[in-house]
Amino acid sequence: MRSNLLILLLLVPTYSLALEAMTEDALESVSGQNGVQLSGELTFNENGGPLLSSDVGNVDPDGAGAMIATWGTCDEKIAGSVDRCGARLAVELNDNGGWVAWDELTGSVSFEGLTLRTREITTTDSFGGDETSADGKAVLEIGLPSQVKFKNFAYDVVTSSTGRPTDTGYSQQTRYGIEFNGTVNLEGNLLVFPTGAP
Amino acid sequence: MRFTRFLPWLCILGSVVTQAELVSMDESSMESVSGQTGIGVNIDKLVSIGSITYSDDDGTSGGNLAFSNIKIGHPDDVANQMAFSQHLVNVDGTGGLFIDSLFEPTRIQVGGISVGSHIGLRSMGEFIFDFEGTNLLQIGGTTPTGYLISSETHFTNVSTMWTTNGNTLRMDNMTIDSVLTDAVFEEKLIDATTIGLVIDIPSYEAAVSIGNVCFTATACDANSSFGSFDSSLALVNSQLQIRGGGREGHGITMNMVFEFDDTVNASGDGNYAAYTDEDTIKFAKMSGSTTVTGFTFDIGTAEANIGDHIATQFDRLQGSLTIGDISIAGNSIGALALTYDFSDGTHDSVLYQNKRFIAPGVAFAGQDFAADTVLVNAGFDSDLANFYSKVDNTSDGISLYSEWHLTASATYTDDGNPFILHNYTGYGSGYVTLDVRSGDQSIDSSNSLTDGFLAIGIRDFKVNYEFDGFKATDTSNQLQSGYEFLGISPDARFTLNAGVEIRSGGASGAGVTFDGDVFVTEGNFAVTKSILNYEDGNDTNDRAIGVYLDGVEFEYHFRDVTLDVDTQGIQLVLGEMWASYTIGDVRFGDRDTGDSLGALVIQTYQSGSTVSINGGGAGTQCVSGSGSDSATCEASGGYWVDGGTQGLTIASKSILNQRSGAKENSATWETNRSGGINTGTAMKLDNIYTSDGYDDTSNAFGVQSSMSVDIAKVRVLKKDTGLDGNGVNGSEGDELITDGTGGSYTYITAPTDADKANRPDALVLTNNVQVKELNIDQVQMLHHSSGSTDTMLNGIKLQNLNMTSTLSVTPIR
Repeated sequence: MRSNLLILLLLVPTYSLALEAMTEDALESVSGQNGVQLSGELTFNENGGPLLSSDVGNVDPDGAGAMIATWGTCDEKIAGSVDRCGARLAVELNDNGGWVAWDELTGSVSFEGLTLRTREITTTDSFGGDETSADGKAVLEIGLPSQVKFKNFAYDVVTSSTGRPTDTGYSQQTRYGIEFNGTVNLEGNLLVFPTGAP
Repeated sequence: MRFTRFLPWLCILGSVVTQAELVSMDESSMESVSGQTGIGVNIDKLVSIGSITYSDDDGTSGGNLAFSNIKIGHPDDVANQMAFSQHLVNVDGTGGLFIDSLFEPTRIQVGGISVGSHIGLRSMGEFIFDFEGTNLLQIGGTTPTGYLISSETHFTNVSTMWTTNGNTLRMDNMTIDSVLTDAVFEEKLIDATTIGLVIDIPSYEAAVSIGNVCFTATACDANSSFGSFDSSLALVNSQLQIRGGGREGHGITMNMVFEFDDTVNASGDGNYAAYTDEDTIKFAKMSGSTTVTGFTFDIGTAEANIGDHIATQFDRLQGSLTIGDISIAGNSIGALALTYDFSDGTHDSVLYQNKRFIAPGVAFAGQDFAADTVLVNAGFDSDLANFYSKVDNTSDGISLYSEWHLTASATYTDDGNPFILHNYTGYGSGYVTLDVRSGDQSIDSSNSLTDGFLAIGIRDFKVNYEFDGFKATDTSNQLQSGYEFLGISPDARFTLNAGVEIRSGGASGAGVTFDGDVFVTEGNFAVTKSILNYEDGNDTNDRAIGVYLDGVEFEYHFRDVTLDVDTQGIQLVLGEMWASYTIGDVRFGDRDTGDSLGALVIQTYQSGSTVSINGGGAGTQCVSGSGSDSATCEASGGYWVDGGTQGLTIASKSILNQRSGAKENSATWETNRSGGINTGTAMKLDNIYTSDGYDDTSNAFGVQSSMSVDIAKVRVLKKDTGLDGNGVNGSEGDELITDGTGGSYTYITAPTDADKANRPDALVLTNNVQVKELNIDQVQMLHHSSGSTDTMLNGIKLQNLNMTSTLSVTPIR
């Protein structure tokens, strides 16, 4: 069942979202209901992933030089003995076409004060007048954390000829790379609710 | 007072052969008896009784309970070889009557137990009890009336066997040691007008050890056994009240109080129960008490599905149970305290009582379930029909009807930090059948044709439960959720039908092996919920809103699932598993009428997946910073979480197979339906599977995750300047510090180390997920109205993911 719920939560935000500032009235109504405040940290491939340089099939991209394999630990990548240590999410848009990938994902994200609860919209909310038509509608409210800290959070957006970087004929172009360090301030709530025909 | 009419020797059809002789007492027995001489009696027993019938039939209610084909003799040949026992009888000048008994190997065998109209047609099976050992019974007088009874029993080489239709479930290599001290048996008033037998038990100790449990009629092989069990329990201040008269007419009514002697918990395991395979699961240092009022025993008639039956019911069972330490493979999970109250309750105009009806035979045997439209529409009728086709209406077995209503709460304590599941209510009803079958009757043809198994059928089992949420530290504290991250629904209703087979022997040596088909229909599960008006002091104003999975049908098939306990904890190997979850509507708001997000259909197909459960949590860690100790971590801007030594860690490996026939891994979200499922437009993640990173054939790694659950103190910062939801003032970024009990709190801008010791308790989840490769073959748009399919994406690959997360869960303040 747990896997079901996780998939559900992944799907929900794609449906209908709205941002609102949290008023004092809304804060007062929070007490004693339910929901959670979450704080935590996500770390991606701190020192690589489960694909190891010693794996059968983990080939050196060009077979030359000091590099011994495509995948390995981040220490091996720094040493130049492997090509990559981050996570990779690749999508093939067209049949037998190229791939777009979110590549070499590493680093960590931490946050404090993310809230999650269900509540009803009332006319005391402020949505520029929309609260009247939405009066009584139940929503999943995601209260954004005040601060999100990024530490060496990095990824590349690439286009690739194959899904796997170890596939025959692999070539890849990096479109751009991102590395985040620092803090992002967030404010407001994300409201998720169904609309349309189910 | 009128005692129930017993007709115990109504029909003695067999023969009783005993030989007795007088012998002298030996020195060891004589040493415990002062001032008297005694007599000894040797008895060679060969007893055969056709049947013994108990009846509470009073002309308007009740019926007969028959014990048939009873034999007592030697275990080697109970019908022809005598069992020997020696009894030394004496009268002490102060202590009363002593009977010091020595039993050589003896078998007590009941060929069948049956009730009412079942008698002669089907029974609960044959029951055998083999034993040898000693018993010292002392019976004296007490004031003002009654008997003072003490007893000390030591039985060894004990075996029990339950046999249905020629197939046996056996427990052997057992020992039983018990000491009853100064129990008072007295006939007296138990309420204003009723006289009954009252048994006061100031002290009782029992230690039971079961060496093996297996499915053979002969001695178990330890390597193909369920494993061993042992327990030691001590009671004090307990009492039984027994009177005649049942819930209907004649019968038996009992009130009972049992209290653990918690003084034995001062050292060692105290009151404990343990299961051992290669390593041990132990529940130690148990304490608490239970009071049962109005427990009745009657013979009931004509229950709709199981017919005539033994009817047991109680008005109320309430109490508490604390397990001071739960450990797996020597690693402590922590402590668990339960309070429970089984009392009648009404929900949706239906009265739920706490009763269990027990009937002989296998109800539903041979049925095709074609009349059960819910089952037929869900396509589950054939699996259940196959399970029950292995027996017929003459087969022996046990059929149960259970109905219950329970309110409870549970407190889990991890390293001294309590976390409470608050205000649980559960109720429901349903049927269970039990019988022992031979291997060739398995639902899985790949199983051994000779190894027996326990067949458990579950039929029309309607389960309802809800709880308010979690509370940290104390019940006076604020309600919160967090169950979402543990995969626990706080509010569920569903109907369960299942056929499950349980075998002895695990993946390695002793253990348990499961096969089964499980079907959940008419399901409604809350993913998360809030209770409006919760703290206004009036429960009738409470109204839950949330995200609910409505119209759930869940079909779950598993084969060759093994359970073992080794040095790494509880090991589950899932063999082959395929399942389909259909969620008719994902509702926001009311559970039945809330706005729907559409339908979800999730199919899973796995082989060789594993789950490992062990005690101990994540230990210490620095969150939102870096450092290997508290000072360094805090200096870096992070906060130090000390998970202690207790906690729970669950590791899993999910190997997702590529599609094989109708078995697949996929997820489908459907909206714009004109009717039910498959009438609208759907987006499908098709053929999801794992591989080992370099091709589509190697698939041994799967999705591996390890989640540790701890209750620990964490940093909570104020999000906004001003009053919070509880009226406590503070500035954005101030830290929440409690008064030390977890109740009231303040916000402090620069907390000291002493303040930080009073950070609030939180549910802390530490997770690591690793994936070598996870593939989605296609993302499709399914247009059910036209029958056409469009491909949105031609493939998705996730590779080399190693994600670690720490999440602390606290109330919204």
